[in-house]
Amino acid sequence: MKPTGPLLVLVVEDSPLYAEMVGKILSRTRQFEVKTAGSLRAGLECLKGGEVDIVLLDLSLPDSAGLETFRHIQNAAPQVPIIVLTGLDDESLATSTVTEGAQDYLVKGDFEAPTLIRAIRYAIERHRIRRALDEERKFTRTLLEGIPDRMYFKDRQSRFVRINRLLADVLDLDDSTEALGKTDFDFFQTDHAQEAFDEEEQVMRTGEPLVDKVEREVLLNGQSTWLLTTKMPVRDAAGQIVGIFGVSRDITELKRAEEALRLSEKRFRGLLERVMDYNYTVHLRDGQAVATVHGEGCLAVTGYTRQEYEADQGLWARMIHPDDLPKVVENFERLLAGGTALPVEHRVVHKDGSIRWIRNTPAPHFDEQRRLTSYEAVVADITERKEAEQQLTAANVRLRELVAELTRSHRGLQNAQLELIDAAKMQSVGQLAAGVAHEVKNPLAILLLGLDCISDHPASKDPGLVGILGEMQVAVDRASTVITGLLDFSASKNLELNDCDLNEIVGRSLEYVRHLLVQGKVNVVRDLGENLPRGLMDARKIEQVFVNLFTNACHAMPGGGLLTVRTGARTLGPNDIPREAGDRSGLRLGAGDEVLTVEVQDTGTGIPEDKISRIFDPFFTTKPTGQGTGLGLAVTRSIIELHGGTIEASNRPEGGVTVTVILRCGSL
Amino acid sequence: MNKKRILVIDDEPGFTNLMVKALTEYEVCVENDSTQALATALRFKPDLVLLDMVMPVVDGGEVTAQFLANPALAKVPIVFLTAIFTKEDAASGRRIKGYPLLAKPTTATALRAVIEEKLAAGGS
Repeated sequence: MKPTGPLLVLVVEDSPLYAEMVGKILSRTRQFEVKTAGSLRAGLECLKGGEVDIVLLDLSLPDSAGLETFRHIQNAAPQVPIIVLTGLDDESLATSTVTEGAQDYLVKGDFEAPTLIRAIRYAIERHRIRRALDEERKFTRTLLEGIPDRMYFKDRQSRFVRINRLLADVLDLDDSTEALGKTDFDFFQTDHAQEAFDEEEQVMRTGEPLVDKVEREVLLNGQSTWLLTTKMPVRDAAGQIVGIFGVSRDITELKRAEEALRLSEKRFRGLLERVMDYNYTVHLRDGQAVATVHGEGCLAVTGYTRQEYEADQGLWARMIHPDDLPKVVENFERLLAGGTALPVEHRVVHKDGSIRWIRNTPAPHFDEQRRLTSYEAVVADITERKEAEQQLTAANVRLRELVAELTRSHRGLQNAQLELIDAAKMQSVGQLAAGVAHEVKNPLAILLLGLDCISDHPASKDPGLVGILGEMQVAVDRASTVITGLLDFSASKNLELNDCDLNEIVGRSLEYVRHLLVQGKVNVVRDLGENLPRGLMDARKIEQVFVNLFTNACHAMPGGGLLTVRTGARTLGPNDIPREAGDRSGLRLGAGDEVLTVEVQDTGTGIPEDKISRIFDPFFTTKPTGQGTGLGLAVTRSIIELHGGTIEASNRPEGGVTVTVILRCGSL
Repeated sequence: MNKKRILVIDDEPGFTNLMVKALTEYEVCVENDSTQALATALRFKPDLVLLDMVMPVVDGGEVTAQFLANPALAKVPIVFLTAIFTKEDAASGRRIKGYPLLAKPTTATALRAVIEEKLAAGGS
């Protein structure tokens, strides 16, 4: 429809006379422009332009008649209002066209110009309103049918006035009109229907809408649905409440998801309680714990019930073992500072007084400012594990001790084995030595005795023979001495221990070598300690030791010198154990042992440093050939070690050698 | 004055031959077979016996036991001769069954000293 200008009226009329008359009437007003068409075909042609505002239609046309004519025109331009022109004889037909949508009908010859104009104007207006209404209805329908919610109107008695398709489907109705006049009681179980009825009654009485109510409705067939429902009053033009309008959204899926979530959380919690023994939640405000909620498992682990914890908020903190409190507090403070929450293993004192170990793992919750608002602590009772750990540690310590003991006894066995090997060696050396002595010394005996006999013979007084006989005698002595040395070295390892005075033994030994000292021009300094403790020793063997040492000292001072013998007693210090001291004997000296010491010093030539470590080895000698067997000091050391003592030799800075013997005091 | 009678029991003929030559001041009887020692001793009736320790079949220790068991010989002084003799033996004056030891090899002088000492002691 054009907003301004004259309206275009199409007159479809096969009578040119009548058409002209209508044209004249309308043209006079200047409000209309008129087009005429003499047939249906011509009329349809004119409508194609789309500019026609209204059609005046004669139903009897050369190419069409009756209702058919109206229907053709209406189909061609449904937006254009139609006024039917009809003869007096045909009024019933005209009425039918109005039923089908014609705006009006006029009986030919029965109207005057003002009537025609008014009819046209009203027709256009009516048509416009009807179209607007149609639009509105379409809009409402779209709203009702398009939105995926259930919608319904009810009257003052809560009877359905109108429902949308969705609701009709829910109510299992083929057509939404089937619901008209029915109530919720016709479709839903009584409980829900009554509740809804009461609500609607209240909405209509108060005029207050009911918004977003979560409700569960159950159909008569038992099918249930969760809904989010809003109901509001419907008022008439006068503002009187005449019914209600309701919208319900199906939130069953949402509810189901919610329920699933709730179930899942419950299951998770159950699982947690099962796995973790129990958990508690601490709520905080401004970094202070304001409420703690304990899980049921607290009773089994701590002996206190939830109610006891609720009644006494300080109970938990008091229950922590005092020794573990610092690390628990430290962890809490780290948590409070937004740090990583670490599991803490600590002890708690059970209500019955026993100590339980727990593993406490906090899971913090922070607000947007990263302030700690609460934390869950999952608690696992690890007492058994801890006890097992402690037992394991103790077992480890025992094992280590056992290993150490085994190592010690193993070492002892090794030493014993070495001693056995040595003993076996010595035994075989002893047998060898005895055999050699017997086989060699008997011939020597013959030689020596033979020399004696020859010496008695007058021919032996020949100066040439005297020298030869002398050298032969020396040779026999030498051979005999070597064999004796060998026998000494392999002599019995059995000691005859007696309570002895060391100084007496030293004195006797000096006595044995007196002739040697005198011959060698060796002076003796006796620096003997007074009131020395006595020692258990085999006096004969110890005398042999000193005789050997004194003899060696004399030999080390061929031009004479000073032999100092010093005795004393002291307690061994921790760093005082000579290297390899009694290493292979079970009588090893140790720190704290009371010992007797003897130092034998000479002022002789000393021992080359590279040889000093070997002087106690068998057959090692620094003496010229024929003057030593190399067995003396080996025998000496052997005897000292049999006594569980030590012997060491060192060169003195001022010249000569010091040999230090350490022997145990008292009983072995 | 009759010479003192010395019985030398030693399995080494070279040694015993020289003993005879060296100890001319005594009447020396030699027995190289120790199994015959007792019989020889009973026949010879020595004033002193020089007895080797290490001998085949019957050693010095056994010979001593035989002599001690025989009243005719039990009081005859014995001096052992041995090649197996250590410094410690010397230092301690080792004795076997109460009898002194003389180490081989030995000089005639040393032999005489021991023999005289023992004869003097036995005579008193």
